[in-house]
Amino acid sequence: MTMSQDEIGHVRQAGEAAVLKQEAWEERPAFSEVFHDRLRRRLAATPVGSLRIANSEAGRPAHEVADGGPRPGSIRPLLPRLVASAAVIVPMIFGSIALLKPWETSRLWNKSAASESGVYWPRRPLAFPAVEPVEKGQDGRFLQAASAQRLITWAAVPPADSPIGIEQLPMFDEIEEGVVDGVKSLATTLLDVSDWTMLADFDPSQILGNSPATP
Amino acid sequence: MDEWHETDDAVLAQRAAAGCVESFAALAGRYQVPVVHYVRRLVGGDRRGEADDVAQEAFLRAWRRIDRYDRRWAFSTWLFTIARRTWLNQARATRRRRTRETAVVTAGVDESEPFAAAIATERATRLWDVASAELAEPAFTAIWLRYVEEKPLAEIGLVLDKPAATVKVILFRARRRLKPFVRHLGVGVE
Repeated sequence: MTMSQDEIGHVRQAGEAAVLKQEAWEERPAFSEVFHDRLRRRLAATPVGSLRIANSEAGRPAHEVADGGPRPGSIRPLLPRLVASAAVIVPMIFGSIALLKPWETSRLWNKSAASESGVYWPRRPLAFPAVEPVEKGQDGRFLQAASAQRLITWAAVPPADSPIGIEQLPMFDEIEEGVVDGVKSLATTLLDVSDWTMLADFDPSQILGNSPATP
Repeated sequence: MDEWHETDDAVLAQRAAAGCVESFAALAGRYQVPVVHYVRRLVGGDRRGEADDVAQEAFLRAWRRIDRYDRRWAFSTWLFTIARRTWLNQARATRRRRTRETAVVTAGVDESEPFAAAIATERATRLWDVASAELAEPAFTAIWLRYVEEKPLAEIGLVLDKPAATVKVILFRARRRLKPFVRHLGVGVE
């Protein structure tokens, strides 16, 4: 009968453990009366133990004394600490402000250049993809909009007759109008389907409008 | 004296927490040998006086903080925890953590058979000498508490302040580290 690797491992481990224990117990020190007497003397002389006994006799919980608690004299040293902390923190705050001042003045959005309408104007050219305004064709469909990378340069100060505001950007109204029109036409077409129970005969080309004939 | 021998650890600890020095002295006498033995191995070498001082300090700390003893765990486990921390504090202060006089000199020893050179020079003849020299302190403590004091993994974890699963890994690595030495000494079953 052969042993598996796991069994061999367990036996080997047990053998090692036995050796470790045997070696340790061979060198186990004997009980020392000298050590014990010295410890007893030190225990009896330990002030904390004596203090605890005294307080237990007085009917007070030991931890109240062991933890100490706030003492009247402990408040006074707190004041110099607060003053010292303030002496460090206040210059740090002023230093931070002095460091942030140039950054603040060179920020992208210059609040001093704000228009009367409350729209802030950037002082530097901004580059971002712009979309051509969406236009409708003769059949009412939207024309393919062309995307282009445009460099849009904003004036440091807006022209006096500029009506531009975020809410007045021309694209949004037209896109919104087109989307609303599309949804309305789709809903109308769906309502025109005669029998919703005959879904098997449903022809999607009805909706698209290019079906030659409706069955 | 018989009364102390028959009284449970938890009862003695409770009396000690109430201020009974004799109860704590009985506990100290009960665990003097295992604690001193462990600390002597931690300190290492022939510095028995230093080890006994550490053990004394550990017992005194236990006495001062006996009200913090949690009765859910074995009193000896709590004592080993305090003894270990006392030694660690002292070792950090004196920067003598790994300078054990009877440690096997491992510098320049072949990593594959590191014990061969030590055997050849007859500097180490016992497995615990090798363990104290080769293992880090947590691994040494884990091996000691497991195989000498036969502590469960959870209580070893209390001493080391680590979860039981971590203790298991530490023990596994420690055994693997000691394996070539064990094989060279011819102990274990091949």
